[in-house]
Amino acid sequence: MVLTADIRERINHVYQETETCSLKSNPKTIVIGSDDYLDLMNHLSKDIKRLTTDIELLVEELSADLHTYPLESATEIKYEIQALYASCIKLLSTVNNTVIYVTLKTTFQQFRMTVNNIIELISDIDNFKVKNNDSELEDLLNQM
Amino acid sequence: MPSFYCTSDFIRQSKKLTSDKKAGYDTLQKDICDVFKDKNIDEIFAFNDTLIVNENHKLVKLRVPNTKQNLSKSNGFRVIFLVQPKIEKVTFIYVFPKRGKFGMNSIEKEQIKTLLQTAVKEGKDNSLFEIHPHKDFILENALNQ
Repeated sequence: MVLTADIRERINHVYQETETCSLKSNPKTIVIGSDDYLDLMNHLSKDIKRLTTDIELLVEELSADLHTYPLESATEIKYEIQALYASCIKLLSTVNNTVIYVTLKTTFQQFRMTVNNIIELISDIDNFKVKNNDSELEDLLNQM
Repeated sequence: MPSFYCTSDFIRQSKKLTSDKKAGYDTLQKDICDVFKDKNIDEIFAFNDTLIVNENHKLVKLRVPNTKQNLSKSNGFRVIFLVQPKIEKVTFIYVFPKRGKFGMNSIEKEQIKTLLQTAVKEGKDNSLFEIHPHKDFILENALNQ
């Protein structure tokens, strides 16, 4: 069984959202305080908040159902999620030390916290699905 | 009604988190109680966030909100526990916050093995501490030890 189209589509959708935010966060020229600048801050603030919520929901759902996925699907999720994580880090690197980050500091801090939860999901997939053949752990559980 | 136990690692960690009043973990006991109280063993066995499951046991890393810091399940606490449905037993192994002074991103499998070794040893020694999540302040006595 491979990853369902629905989950792949959802991860891909969030990935595309992240890539779009990265592009928007890297304007060629912008005059601080101009109308264009204020419009950009407004749009970006909404986009990053929506992205944060989407990642939070996605990670929560994947974590909750992790044990139900067969190994092949879990491995595929891991690769897809790693690509999403890399995209999020690229976005954070793009805005790091810029006026955009300073202006939307709280929004980006929330985003960073949510991105950190992706690491936890990758670690859990690795430890308990991909490398799940652990007799020592099973022995300990059976002794309880 | 299931029996609830916790290990010395769980007590020590809870003590560490709740004793620092400025750290924002004061509600730990109540937040955990709110999840477990009034639940029967089938309901607890049906919790998501499962790490390992078979017919005899289920190891869960449950997401619990931190009401003190107004943090959601995702950013609140992680409570690691073992459910044994056949003997109606729940053993709390460890707890850690995701955010704040003692925040941790995740827990490694080797750490979980070490925590389980303690749980096995204390189970054999009959030194697991019995707790009562259906009453608030479940850990009151354990924390005062």
